[in-house]
Amino acid sequence: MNIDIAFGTLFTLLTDPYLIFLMLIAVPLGAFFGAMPGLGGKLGVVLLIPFVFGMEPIAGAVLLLSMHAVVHTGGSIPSILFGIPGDGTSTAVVLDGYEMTRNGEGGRALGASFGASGIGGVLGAVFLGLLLPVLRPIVLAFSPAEFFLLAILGITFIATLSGKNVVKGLVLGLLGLMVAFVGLDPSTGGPRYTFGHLFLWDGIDIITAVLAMYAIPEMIALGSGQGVVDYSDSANKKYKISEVWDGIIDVFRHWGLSLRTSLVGAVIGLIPGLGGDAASWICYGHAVQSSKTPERFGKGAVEGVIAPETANNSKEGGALLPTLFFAVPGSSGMALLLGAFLMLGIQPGPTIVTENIDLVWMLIWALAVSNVLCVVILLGLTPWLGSLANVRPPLLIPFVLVFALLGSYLSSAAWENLILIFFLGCLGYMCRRHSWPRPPFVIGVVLGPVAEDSLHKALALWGPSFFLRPISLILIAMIIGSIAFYIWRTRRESVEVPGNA
Amino acid sequence: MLEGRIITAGLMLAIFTTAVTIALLYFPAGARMLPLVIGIPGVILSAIQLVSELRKSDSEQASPEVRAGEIRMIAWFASFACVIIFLGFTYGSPVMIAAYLSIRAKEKWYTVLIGAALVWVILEYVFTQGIGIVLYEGIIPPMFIVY
Repeated sequence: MNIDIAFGTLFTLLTDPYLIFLMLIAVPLGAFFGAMPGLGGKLGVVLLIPFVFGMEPIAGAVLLLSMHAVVHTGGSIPSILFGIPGDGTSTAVVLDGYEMTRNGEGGRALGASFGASGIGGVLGAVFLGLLLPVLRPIVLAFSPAEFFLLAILGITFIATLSGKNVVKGLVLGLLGLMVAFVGLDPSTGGPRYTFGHLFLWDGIDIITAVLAMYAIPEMIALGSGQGVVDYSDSANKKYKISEVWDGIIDVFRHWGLSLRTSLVGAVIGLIPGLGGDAASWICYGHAVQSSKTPERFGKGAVEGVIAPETANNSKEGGALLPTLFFAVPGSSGMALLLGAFLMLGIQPGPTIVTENIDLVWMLIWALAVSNVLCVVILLGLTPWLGSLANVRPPLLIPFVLVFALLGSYLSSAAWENLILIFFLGCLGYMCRRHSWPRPPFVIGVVLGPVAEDSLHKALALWGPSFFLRPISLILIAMIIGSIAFYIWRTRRESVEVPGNA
Repeated sequence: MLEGRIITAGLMLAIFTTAVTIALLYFPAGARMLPLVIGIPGVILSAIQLVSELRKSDSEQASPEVRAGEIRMIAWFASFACVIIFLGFTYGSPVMIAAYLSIRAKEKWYTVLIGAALVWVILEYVFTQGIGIVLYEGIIPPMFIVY
């Protein structure tokens, strides 16, 4: 590990007023969007994308990653105060966090959540940093053959893990890949699926696809009365900083649990598609199992807040790894970041290890520093957190629509994108409405060009025998394993459900 | 009336079938390999999903209020896209924000005014003058304004 680069980038991050200013904007915004049920952190990142256009790559990436890093910290606030998860990953926190609030320990629960998120975020970043020297030779050993299979593995993983219906997941993953084929064919140079439109020659850009699949469906749902939450009964309750501080100290009282769940979260983050829900529930289960008094869980045990929160934030460190080094986003949020990175001129992939390692370190530190900043900012805002109930998310709909359209236009400077995003947005809403898992689509769009380019190169270098390379065989085994695991899980569930046997 | 879940599955099947047909008919051999490798399993899987949806007996019909809300929101989204295509971002965005806040959200006049002004200031002073981005001007403004 090059210590100079590692700590030099930290020094730059902490002493550059511009970067600190950007983080001071991104962190409260990320926490706010995370805290608003019906909005969510991805929308926050979507809104910021147009603003990073034209920025220096490092500044833009730091801004977006800082925002993304603290989304889950904000998401825990409504879970704890109102019993309503800000996002899917915060559902595990409701069990004990909301019970603590009902027992008059809301401030302490918030403190435990902030402290755990901060510790988890920092440890997740440290985990990523420590893996770098180990990872470098592995990343560099990957050839086009392995990248092709890695792309297929990413889609299979995400399709099998993203919902009950694997067929829907696979169909959308394949559709994402088909969308990625729009444009000029890399081998023959001929146009594919462009229907005579010049703007499609460059393909459908990732930003438009992601905005259409996430921002637009959420706004249509919010505007049509779905996902609007009324928690005005709990509004304006004041919490004391001393109570919150007590909760932060709790994280250090349970340091063993915090460390273990941070590590588990970071490892889960490494696996594309497994996501935050799995991380938080697995760690919650671990907290119950490892407790001497498991009967307290579900009734307001502070460990029930600490465990899922550390995992939620530490998994972002793990998820950044496949995103940056293999261009395989670990989650839909990371897919969005990946698209934004490409727009900024950052090319994730193995070359980032050799050519742009200072950027990698900068992002690792941004992940850690933004988590610490978030704890400090939320601690300062504690007395007013109850006022969140007064915010009306539907008021933000027109602004999100305008900035989504702007982001789509700016991503390739084509006004035709405004028509494209409308149709893809309607498709995205249909998918949302009828429970088609959208992450495989986004991953397909992101991985499509990687898969195609790698396949052509692998075939040119080795012919069909590239499937027999050692790492290829391991990846093929993993693809088969993920499908077999899905089939086994489905059969087991059908046996366990009475009447289905 | 056909349910949304059947329409969605049918739409997926139609997209994949069209994509595979186009690849077979119009692409040269080298260019159609991956679209076929991906498209054919897509046709098979979406057909399986469609059959599964057709066999389902339970209905997932949305309430009339939700359905009306969905149609209204899609119409609003289409309006945002159309107005911005015609008026550009600088003029179209404040117009649509004001229209949405006053007609759909039924906000007070000063909220409408602040919302429209805020987005105009961001587009004009942050994007155009601050970052130096040339925003899409629309179809109509260039006919009257010399940029």
